[in-house]
Amino acid sequence: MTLARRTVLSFAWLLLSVVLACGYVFFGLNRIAESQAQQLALGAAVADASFVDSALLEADLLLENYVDFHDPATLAQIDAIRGQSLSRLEHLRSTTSIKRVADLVDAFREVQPQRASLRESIVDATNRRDEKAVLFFRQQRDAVNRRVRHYLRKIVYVQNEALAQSTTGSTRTIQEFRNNLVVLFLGTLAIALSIALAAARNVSRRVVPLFDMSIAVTAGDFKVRVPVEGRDEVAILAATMNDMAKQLEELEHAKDEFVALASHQLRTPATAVKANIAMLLDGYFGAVTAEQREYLQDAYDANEQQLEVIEEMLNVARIETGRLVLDRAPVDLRELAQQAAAQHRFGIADSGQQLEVQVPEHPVTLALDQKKMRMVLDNLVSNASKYSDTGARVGVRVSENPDGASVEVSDTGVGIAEEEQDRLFRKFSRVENARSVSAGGTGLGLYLAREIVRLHGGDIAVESEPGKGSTFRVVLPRS
Amino acid sequence: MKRVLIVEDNPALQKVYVTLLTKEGYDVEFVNDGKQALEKATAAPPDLILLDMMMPNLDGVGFLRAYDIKNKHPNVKVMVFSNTEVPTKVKEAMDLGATRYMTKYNFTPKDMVAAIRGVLGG
Repeated sequence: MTLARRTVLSFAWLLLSVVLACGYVFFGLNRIAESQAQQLALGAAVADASFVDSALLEADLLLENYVDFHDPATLAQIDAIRGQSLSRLEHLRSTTSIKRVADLVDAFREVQPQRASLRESIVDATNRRDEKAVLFFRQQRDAVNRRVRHYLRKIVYVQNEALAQSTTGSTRTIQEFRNNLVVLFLGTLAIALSIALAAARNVSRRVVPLFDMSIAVTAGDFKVRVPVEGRDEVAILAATMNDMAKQLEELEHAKDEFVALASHQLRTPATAVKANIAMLLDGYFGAVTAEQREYLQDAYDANEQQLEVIEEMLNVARIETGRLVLDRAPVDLRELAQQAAAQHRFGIADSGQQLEVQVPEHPVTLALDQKKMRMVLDNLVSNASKYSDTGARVGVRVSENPDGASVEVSDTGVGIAEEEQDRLFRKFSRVENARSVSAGGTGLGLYLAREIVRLHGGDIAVESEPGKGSTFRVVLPRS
Repeated sequence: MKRVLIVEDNPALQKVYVTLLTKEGYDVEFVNDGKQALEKATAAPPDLILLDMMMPNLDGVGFLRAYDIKNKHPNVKVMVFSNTEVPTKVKEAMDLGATRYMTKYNFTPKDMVAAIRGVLGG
């Protein structure tokens, strides 16, 4: 699944959750509105019943008035109140949803004609001034009124009960709705967050190796590969980066192969040149004059320098292809150091420099590749002289310690600035100064030296101060 | 007069070896590859074979394997003189009966003559 699809999916999920939540809110609000309407209706019914109740009371009071004062206007008032309360009663009957209330209203209506006729009888008796009859009918009407009142109170009671129930129900509904809404909200949030988090973590988990790989490739490791998972953009990027590293690796390999082959092919003619000149110098073809010898020697030296460069390039090619194999045997490090110093003794003396060699009295025996370690020390001693002026001191010191041994090659020469010290051991790096330009060299010597020492499990460190000199320390472990 | 067979495909080096060893008083013959060397050294075994490693047709190791010094030619000395110094190649050559293994590029004619004298004993 592509990242875009994954993003759309999580967005769609969020959208769905929002729609669901809105639906739920709509549904809940609807229910609340419904129960509000129901409560309103119940409340109206109570109002109807209460109105009728008080209307009855008022009508009775008015009737008492008529009995006492015979005012015909009072009768009209009673009729008006009667009309109002009957219409409210009809209203109540038609709107109530409670059967018991409807029954009570019907019972009320059944008694109503009796009440009306009793009223008529009271009015007649009053008009006749028959106080006895008035008293008799009033007593009867009071009894009917008590029944009617009982019905009305019952109606109010039932209605109130229903209202209380409905209110409790709707309060519960609102609480449930609120709780559900909180759960729904938190749940949706949690799911959306975990989808987003999972997507983000998935991407970052797979991007980290790509990041590491780009660092490794930048540092020159072309063998590194990353796993290709899925078919999204990250996977495509991973596959592309793997291809890129593969091509770089092939290119690097081709370059190394070329260097190895070219060096080997260069070596053979250079060897023939060397042998021919040496035979001339050795007098195989007759005596040579001093002048001839000088020029032959120059040619011989130049050829030697060329062979040395070829040898360095070959070694670099071997190191890069992992084909530089050490041929280790017990070697006295003192001897190697002394040989290296001896090799450059005349060159150092010619430059007007002093050579000091310090070695322990007892042998310092380590398992080393004699030829390659000798090359390392040669290079360090040669550099010490090359980068020092006339009058400088070149020191070679071998010392032993519990973990192994070390060789320090020091000089009192031009020194190396701190920012240049890091570059020293890189391929083709050379510290620029007046003498180095004339000194020649490929810029491979220190790179090779460090690689060879590292193959032995050791390392080379440099301490230097411009103007005071440098010390290169080769530390070798007892293997 | 000791007989030396030079096996070398590079003409310039071949010429140097032939001239040098003739001047040093050896009876010198030369061939260009391992295959020719096998024919010549089988027909008339020399005292010393100066053997290059990287050659067309049959290389140094191939020659040593076919020539079988240990069983068939115990009296023939073989000095490998090559610019290849891969440790596995060196070991293989020595295991197949070579007396010495030397690299061409860091030897002078004098060193070479001294080494040959050492191997042939005088």
